[in-house]
Amino acid sequence: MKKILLAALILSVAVAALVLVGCAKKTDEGYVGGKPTYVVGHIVYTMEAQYHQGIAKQIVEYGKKMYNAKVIVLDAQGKDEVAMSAVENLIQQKVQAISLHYPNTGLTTAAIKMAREKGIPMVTTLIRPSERIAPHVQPLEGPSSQMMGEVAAKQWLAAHPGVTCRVFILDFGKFPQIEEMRTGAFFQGVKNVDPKAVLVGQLNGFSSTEKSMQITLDALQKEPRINIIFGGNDEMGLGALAACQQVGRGKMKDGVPLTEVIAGLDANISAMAQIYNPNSSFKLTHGAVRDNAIAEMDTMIGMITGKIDPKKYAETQVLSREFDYWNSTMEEAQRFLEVNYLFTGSLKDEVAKAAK
Amino acid sequence: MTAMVSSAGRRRSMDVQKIILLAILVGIFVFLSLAAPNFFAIRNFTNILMQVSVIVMIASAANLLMITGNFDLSVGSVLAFCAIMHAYLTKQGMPIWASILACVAIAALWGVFNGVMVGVLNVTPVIATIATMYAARGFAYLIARWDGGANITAGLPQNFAEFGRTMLFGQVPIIILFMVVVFAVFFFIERKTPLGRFSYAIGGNLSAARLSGINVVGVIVALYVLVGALAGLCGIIQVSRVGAAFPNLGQGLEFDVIVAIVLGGTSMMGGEGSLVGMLLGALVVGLAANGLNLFGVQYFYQTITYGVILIGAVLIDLAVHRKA
Repeated sequence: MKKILLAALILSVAVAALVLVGCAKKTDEGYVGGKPTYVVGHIVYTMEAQYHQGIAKQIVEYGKKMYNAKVIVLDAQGKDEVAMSAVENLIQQKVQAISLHYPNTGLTTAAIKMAREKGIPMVTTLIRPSERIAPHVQPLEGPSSQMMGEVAAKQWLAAHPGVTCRVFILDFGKFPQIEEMRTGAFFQGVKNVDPKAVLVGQLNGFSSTEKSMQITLDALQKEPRINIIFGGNDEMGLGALAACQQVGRGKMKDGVPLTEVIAGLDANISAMAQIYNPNSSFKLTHGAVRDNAIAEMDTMIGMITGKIDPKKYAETQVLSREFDYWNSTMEEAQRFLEVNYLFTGSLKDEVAKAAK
Repeated sequence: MTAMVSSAGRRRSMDVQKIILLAILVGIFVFLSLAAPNFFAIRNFTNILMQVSVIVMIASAANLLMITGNFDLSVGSVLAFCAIMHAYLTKQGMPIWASILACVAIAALWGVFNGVMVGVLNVTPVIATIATMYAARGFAYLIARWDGGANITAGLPQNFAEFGRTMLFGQVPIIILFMVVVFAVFFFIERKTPLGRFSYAIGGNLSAARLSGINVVGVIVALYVLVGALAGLCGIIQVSRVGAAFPNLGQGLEFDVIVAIVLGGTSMMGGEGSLVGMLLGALVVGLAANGLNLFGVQYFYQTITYGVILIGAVLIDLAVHRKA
């Protein structure tokens, strides 16, 4: 009986493996001349987030269309050791260039040097490495984050004159550059409008909607007067919204804040569906997907063809477009999603489903 | 005589452990009531219970499993898998109630797989359940990709969030009710049913249990199925509370469950344990997490605190057992 069971299990696993391999997308199809002109690697911080998946999709499609390039995408899974393994993996595959997004600045510097030793140029993005020794693509998040803070504070004070802005922030664990570009910039924006604004708390949301929900519940308990919440990414912002909704908050009336104003970051589909829901308190975000991906790809090819010096720090800046309920239209958001996230649905329909 | 003394000694040490744990719980409670802002409030207690509910529900079955000398590291991944599956099925038009039943059934199947690997094929529980952990999480990501993205947040039915956010009598979140019911059921199972008695027998002496006619394989498989099913149910509740499905739901949950169980005095070697102890352990961890958040303590200090709590619990356990 045991032998039969064992044999059945082995057979099932083998069949499942074959099916998965068969279902896996063939990556060597559709290239001009039957094979890619360039082969490059792209290491994603984590495929859990819509934003990073969006960048990966854009890089692959743009690379193929513009340069007949094959892009090998690897997921760092948010872990240092996996990120380094991914770099080693790509070096082993003898790719011609690598783009890397990872928040550990020392790790990215080490990765640049490791790849350079093997003659492979690298471009980094979003978080500047500890040593500026290679090209870098930088979304301009600071001004957009500050703008969001200003808009959030203005809208809150317009609806509740004289009620001091009390801000709660969910971050990734106090990365200095995130502080500079996102959380600190956002709070500065709030203070620009309300100099008496108070930062009630800033805790690690672990980039997780579930954990952010739990932490926000505790934060609201600690300080029920919280009226502005900022999630370091849309996932955390949505977790904060879920927490607010569970305690009878999370409400707006046709864009007039009733309980709080929530902001996120990445401008993904889920966030936009809430932003344009007139009765949800999630109302602001910003993001740069396509332009970021294009800049990374162009830089990699530039380094390969000798047009860009791979050993010199040169920063390509990309606009991180801000969206909010009051100043951006749903049509603009729809277009943004189509271009950046390759969204093929209707934002209007998503908003209708999200609205209660 | 020696066996009777030894058994009585173990029971006494369990009682002492529970008393110590209760004392720690009361101590933390009093401290937080005095020092933490807005701790002593019904809403805050509700928050704490909501936060430990998932752990208590899964640990209620996992506790019995550990008493048999086995454990399940796949609970977080099975939870995530069922969360994603529930979102996917309801988005495709399946009625919510049908999706709940289907997903719990699928979660139970993961449990069957674990049970067969461990109970029938004698694969080490660590290896077997880690394999399930990777596979279930991987499938969760895959289902999200089939839906077209990194997660399933858009296009869900309007009543998707209702199940997890239902409030009984307008005050009590449904997840707390589920926790109470599951705990009560497993309390009964542990004390009054053959499944409970057999679990202790298997953990105490596997050979003796077999020789005395206990269907060891059946018990182990049944417990893995129960753990799996509860993980699935928790996934459905969590995803409807969050209002959207993310494949990273339940990350690290298996360790939270094990901490609650070990803190409660259940031996990882099997043979002894206590459901009440598990509940006290879960509440200690829940109170500590809540208190640290109310104080605004940064994450790294929180992880150190958990480590200290766990080491403290293990040392107390050692000290108590030595005396017994």
